[in-house]
Amino acid sequence: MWWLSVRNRCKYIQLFYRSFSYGTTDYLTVHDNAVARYAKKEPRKHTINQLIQFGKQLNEQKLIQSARFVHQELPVRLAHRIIDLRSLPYYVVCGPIKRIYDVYVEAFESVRNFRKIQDLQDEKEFTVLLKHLVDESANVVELLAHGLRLALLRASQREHLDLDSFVDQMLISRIGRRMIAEQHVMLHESRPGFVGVINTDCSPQQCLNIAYQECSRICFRQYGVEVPVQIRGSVSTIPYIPYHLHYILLELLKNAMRAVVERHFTQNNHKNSLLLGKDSMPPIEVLLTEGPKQVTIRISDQGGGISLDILPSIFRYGFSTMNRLREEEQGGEWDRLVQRQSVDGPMAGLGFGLPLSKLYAQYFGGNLQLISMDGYGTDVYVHLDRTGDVLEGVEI
Amino acid sequence: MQKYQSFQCFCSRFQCVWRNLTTVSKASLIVGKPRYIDAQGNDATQPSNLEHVKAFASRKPSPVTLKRLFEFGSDPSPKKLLTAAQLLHRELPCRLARRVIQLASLPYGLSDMPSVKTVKDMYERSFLDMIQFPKPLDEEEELIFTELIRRIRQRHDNVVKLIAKGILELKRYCGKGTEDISIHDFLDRFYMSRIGIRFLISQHIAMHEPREGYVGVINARCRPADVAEDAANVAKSIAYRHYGEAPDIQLLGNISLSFPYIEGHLHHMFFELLKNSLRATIEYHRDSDIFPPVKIIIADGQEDVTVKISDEGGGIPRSAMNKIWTYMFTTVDIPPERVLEATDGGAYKGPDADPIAGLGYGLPLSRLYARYFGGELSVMSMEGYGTDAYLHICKLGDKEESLV
Repeated sequence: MWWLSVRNRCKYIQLFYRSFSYGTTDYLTVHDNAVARYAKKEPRKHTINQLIQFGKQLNEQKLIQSARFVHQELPVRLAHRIIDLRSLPYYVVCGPIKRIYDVYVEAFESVRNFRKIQDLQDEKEFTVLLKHLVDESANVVELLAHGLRLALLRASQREHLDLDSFVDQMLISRIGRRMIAEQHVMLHESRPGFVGVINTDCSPQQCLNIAYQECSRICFRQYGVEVPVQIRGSVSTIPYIPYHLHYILLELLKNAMRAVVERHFTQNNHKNSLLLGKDSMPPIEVLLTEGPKQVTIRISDQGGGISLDILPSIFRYGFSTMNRLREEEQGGEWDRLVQRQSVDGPMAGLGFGLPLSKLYAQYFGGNLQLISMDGYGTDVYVHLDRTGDVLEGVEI
Repeated sequence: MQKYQSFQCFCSRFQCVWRNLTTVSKASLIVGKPRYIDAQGNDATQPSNLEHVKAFASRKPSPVTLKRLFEFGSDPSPKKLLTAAQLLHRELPCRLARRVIQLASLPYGLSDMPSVKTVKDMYERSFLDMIQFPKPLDEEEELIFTELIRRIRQRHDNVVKLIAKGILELKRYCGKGTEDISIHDFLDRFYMSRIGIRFLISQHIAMHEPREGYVGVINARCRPADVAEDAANVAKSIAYRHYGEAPDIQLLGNISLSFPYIEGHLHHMFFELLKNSLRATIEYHRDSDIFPPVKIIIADGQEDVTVKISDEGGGIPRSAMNKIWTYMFTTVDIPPERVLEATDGGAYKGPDADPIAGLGYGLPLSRLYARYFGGELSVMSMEGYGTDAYLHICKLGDKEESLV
């Protein structure tokens, strides 16, 4: 439907929702059938090791094979989400959600309608298409967050609306689809130690250092202080996707630093930050350990912990302890200073960071657990599977 | 006139004698209740007793909060004690009856195991004792009532071990054990209920023996730091006895924190966790000269208190993590006949001490103690490094007992 104008597209979507049980035009009926057909199939999942094994010695044949796999697989995964979106209660469907729907339908159509991949030329054009789609859907998380907020506002009079499992499913699928697409695209690059987006020798220590440096910069810009971080322990390298780990560590360190600084400010009656030395704040302790099957990273702060009334909500979507975003307003002070838009949304305020980090951790067989000690601090445990033999995906 | 007076004298003397009889013998003197003897010549449940049990079991138990008990029990006058006794007299039969019903309807034939039958008979006997005792109406009767519940508590001292024995018997009989979810569920509910019953009984008895700074068994100014230190000393001495050495235990955080709580429960939990930490540390660092210390951090929150016990004892392997909460998860294989001998080396010796132990019950029971008044116990392990146990306790005392 990408060739239609925005207004016509919206009209069609409105028709979808109003006349759900019968098709309105021939095109839509055909489209409907295609989605239904693809949605009947189950996604084909892989382990990290399988992806590495495949991408190690690349040749023409393998590239074409990979492209064919993505060609078949993406529409299947997209079709499932399109069905999910259609199943939302009608009052949930607002601007941002409609936009996501459009993006997904466009992606679905353009991939499935791409010609059969026979040779390298086909494969090359297909890769260009993939790159375009990845860019197009870069802001979906943000859209999802805004859409969720609007939906909750609308639903507040009606009923208790719990969209958490819907959002979970959307994000899990997104992690997977982006991984598949980017993996194929990056197979064209040959970076030492990398197979696609997977680093066969990913060092959690290094990831930690990079995340720490970035976080320190942000913290300094926002608060004018640096929070000391002590890193202890060492682990061997694991086959992993660095971006995933980076996202998780950045989110957790950001939360820890913010907690420590804000507590310190409160305790010292908001004195001028310049007077607060780095040494006067309790350090964040990061510990790296490993067992035969897992690597565990524990991030412990003394930022005062999370109070009991907030604790049940911290893994829920849309809950943020930053200034609650109003519909018109975009982001808090932290956001503006940071000006950082990643493919997973701005750095703070959306209320997606922690649950999304957990999904990233769980996607390849790990986990994320948080324990709060109200009045003292918080400990977060990130477990990562190091065998590389766990199938992708999260059961919810 | 003289005859009348002497008759009166006789009557009052008879009343004294009557009141001073033990309750059990009283029960046997009650006229009009035929004793039912079954084929083996044992006392058995009379049909009418079963109806009694069912009737009481169908009543809902009334949960109390720590705060209420604390406020009620400060300054215990005889009148207050009487009221408390009357409330207990109403409440205990209901809880005991529910246990009888539960014990009679366990899965896999567990109810037929001899040790489980023994426990069920125990609960039934205690239930009968309670309902056959008339509601105490004055100070004297209240004292006899207190004596009755003290005896009931004593009777039930070995219940945990007997149930453990029963489960081992079941294992030999049909292979089902505590890894089975319905058995585990039963144990959780049964022991939680037992904690409640014993606590209420101990609380009432302790109110007769007031101690400075205590309301029954509730320490008005319970300091986790002090309790932890006591538990630490006991745990360390056991470690010394066993291994000849022990790691240091450091106390950090809010050492001066105090709030009203049941000292015995806290001691039990600390002792179990510290025992585990010490053992793990010693065994993991067997070949080195110095042991990394076990650290206890006490955090004071707005509504709850968190105590974190951290060790560097190598952690718990991932494959074992979901088993640590299973009852009788130990590497020791005890035959049922030896179960009753197991001891934990004698930890808490307070007035409400519970003589259980050494059976791999430490963690799951500690969690029940924590959950009893709305708290929680979580264990996080870092394989290859160590374990952190987090104990959350509600310090406001406004959570109701956890009842099943």
